[in-house]
Amino acid sequence: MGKLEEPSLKWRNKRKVYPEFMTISFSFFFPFLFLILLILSCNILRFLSKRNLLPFSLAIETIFLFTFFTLFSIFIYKSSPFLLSKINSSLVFPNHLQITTVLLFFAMFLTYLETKSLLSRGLSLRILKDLDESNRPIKLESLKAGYGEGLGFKGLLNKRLNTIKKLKMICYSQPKVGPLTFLGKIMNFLGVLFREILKLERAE
Amino acid sequence: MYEIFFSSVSGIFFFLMIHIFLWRVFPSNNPRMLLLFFLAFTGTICSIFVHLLFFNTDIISVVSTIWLDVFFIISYLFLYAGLSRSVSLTLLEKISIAKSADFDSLVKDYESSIRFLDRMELMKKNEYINISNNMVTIRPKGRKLIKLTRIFGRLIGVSLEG
Repeated sequence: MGKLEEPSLKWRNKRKVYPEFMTISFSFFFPFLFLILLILSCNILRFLSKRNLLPFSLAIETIFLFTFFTLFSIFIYKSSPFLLSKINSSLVFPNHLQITTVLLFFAMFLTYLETKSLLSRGLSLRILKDLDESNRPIKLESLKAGYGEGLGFKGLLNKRLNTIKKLKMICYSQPKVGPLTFLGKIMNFLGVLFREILKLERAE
Repeated sequence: MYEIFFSSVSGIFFFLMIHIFLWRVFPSNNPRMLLLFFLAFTGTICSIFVHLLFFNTDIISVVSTIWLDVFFIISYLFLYAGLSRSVSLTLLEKISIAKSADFDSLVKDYESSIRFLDRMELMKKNEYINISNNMVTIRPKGRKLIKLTRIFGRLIGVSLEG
């Protein structure tokens, strides 16, 4: 009798682990699926705008991204217990996991934004791209002058200053740069403080 | 929820303390991202340890603690990457000191802040490019990297701008 009970106990223990594994997998893959959905819908938006079917700008893309991120976060929070119970009625999705799953989705979204920024603004990658497209050796000086789609350092600085101006951190009308706005002063204070605490050298 | 929050915050606190200590004692111009990732991992282990020791051993609440840790760590890494080597912040600092600056005088600072030659040297060292007699050519490894970046960029809808 005892020998018969042993495998059944083992099986029961296995069943105990299985639902937890399912819940954990669900809490990871469910937000990941929504991140892929977010990226896909953003790509579709770009594709449609390339075919002149939709207006497209950085502002529209940003609004689109953040609106969908918020909607998806709410959906993940609200629907995860229900959807998990649809997979298996015995599965439970506790409230704390609901909250941390949404936070995990937020972390995935931040990683996506950081990768996007690294790819689109990566200066070394840009140099390699310029070299790859030219298909012949380039003089160091002309590579420097044609840096960033022929903008050169002046063009890139102008682009960057205009972005900072758009973010309302500086007053800028060429050739005069400055002074800083109130927001610019706050950002500068926080940046300097952060670098002081970690003893980081300035990018110079 | 409070036990998850407490465990996670204790791990993050541990991570930040070691991070600040190491960065202050051994200052460097290198962002040291790999070391930062390792410290973040140590912080997460600390969170799990605190959770198991003081609260409960339920695997789902441990996973909740890990997810919360991941959220805190990614948020911090996002801030760190943005602030530590930001050229825009360096520009803000320069303008703040001078109150207002002339565009041409900033061009020179911008050139040095971008570290064009440093980048070229690093790429040469990593065998992405070749520099001889002031002429630069891309090497097969560099072409491969740019091809992979293009594919990945297309997947997430990004084009290289610089």
